[in-house]
Amino acid sequence: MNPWKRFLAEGGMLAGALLLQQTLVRWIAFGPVRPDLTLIALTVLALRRGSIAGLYGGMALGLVQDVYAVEALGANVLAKSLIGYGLGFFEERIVKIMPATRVLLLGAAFAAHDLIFYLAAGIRGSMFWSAWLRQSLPSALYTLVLGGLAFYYAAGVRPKDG
Amino acid sequence: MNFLAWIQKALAVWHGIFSFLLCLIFSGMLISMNGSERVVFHEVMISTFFYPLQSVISRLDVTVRVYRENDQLKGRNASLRIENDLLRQELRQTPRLAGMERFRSESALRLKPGRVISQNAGRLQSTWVIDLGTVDSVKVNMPVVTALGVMGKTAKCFRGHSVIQLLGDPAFKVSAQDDRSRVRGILESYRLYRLMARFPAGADVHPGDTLITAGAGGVFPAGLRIGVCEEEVSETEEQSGDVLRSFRVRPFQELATVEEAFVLIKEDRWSISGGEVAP
Repeated sequence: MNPWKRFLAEGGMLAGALLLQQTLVRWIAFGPVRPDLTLIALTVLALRRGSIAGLYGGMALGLVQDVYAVEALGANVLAKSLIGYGLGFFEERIVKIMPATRVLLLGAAFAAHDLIFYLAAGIRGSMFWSAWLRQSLPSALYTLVLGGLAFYYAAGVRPKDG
Repeated sequence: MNFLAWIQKALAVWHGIFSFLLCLIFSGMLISMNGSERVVFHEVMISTFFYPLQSVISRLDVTVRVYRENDQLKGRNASLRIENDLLRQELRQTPRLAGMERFRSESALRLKPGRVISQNAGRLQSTWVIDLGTVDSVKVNMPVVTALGVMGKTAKCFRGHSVIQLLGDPAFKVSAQDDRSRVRGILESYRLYRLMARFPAGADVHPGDTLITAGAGGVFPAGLRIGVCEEEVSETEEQSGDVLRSFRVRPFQELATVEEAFVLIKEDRWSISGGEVAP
């Protein structure tokens, strides 16, 4: 594929994830428990294109999110770019990854993302554990379900009924 | 020249490491900003790049949701009509002149309707942007409400838009009052996304009581509905000792469903509950 077309397609995927995060997610959220579609898109990008693309993709997503959350300015940029960079080491052109492994990577990425985010945002102590248990953990499971479905369908493998 | 050539070669070979370091430095700069610098960064980004983009996204969002909203509004309209008729009958029959006076005052409130054009993109819902600004007579510290209850207040005002500080913001506090027993307390954010009302020890407050604004503080007029007291938080969990009684609060207005809100246009010092207007 033409590099410019590929760049536009992948940029569109990130922008689309942000758009859906802002619009669709509020309808499927359970109170504070909401899936992180941007993290799913970032995982897809980093696994396809490697560390550098993951780093800059995460940085762009994090910057947009940080602009609207000045109380934690920089935390999303740091968390998402580090996650994008780290996931890029499992680039599918170098490492063969099954869809199930991608879901595991997404789960690990979510956990690491929230850990970095909370620490960078200065959330510590009982507030950290409360946020982790009541928001991060359920949101991670929700994201894994949606991410798993996306990975299976993207790989052309549909989960069997039952 | 040799040094420049070396730099070029290093950038070509180690561009991944350089990108990584660049990102770390950029993140560090953002994190190390103090409060006023963060606000300036936010304002510049919102006013230049993001406001037009968010406006377009918001229009798309409105188009997608309009059918669903229409159905909901039809049902709510019918329900409110019936409720309104019943309330009118009750108000005609009630002997409490003060209640009627308050109703009259409330109906004369100067409410400015606006559309929420952007929400906090993260999972912590603390600030939103609304499409009302100084050209609409909106100023800082004006209450933001919906038909169901209080949402927050205006924190920053620009020409065509304003930033709303929501009830869930950790820095947000409002004086609240038990509608039944008239006990006063403080409502504040609790563990990032919950609301907590604190009253003096021994206060006559029970789960299920309605909370309204108390009117102290000069931002919110007295009598605006906030939410309902839920269970009391135990001392071991809250560690407030025997000085305070703390209750979790469920706001009347669920933020996830808000698409439009009203800014209560008011002067700095006034009260709607007592019918008195400060000079």
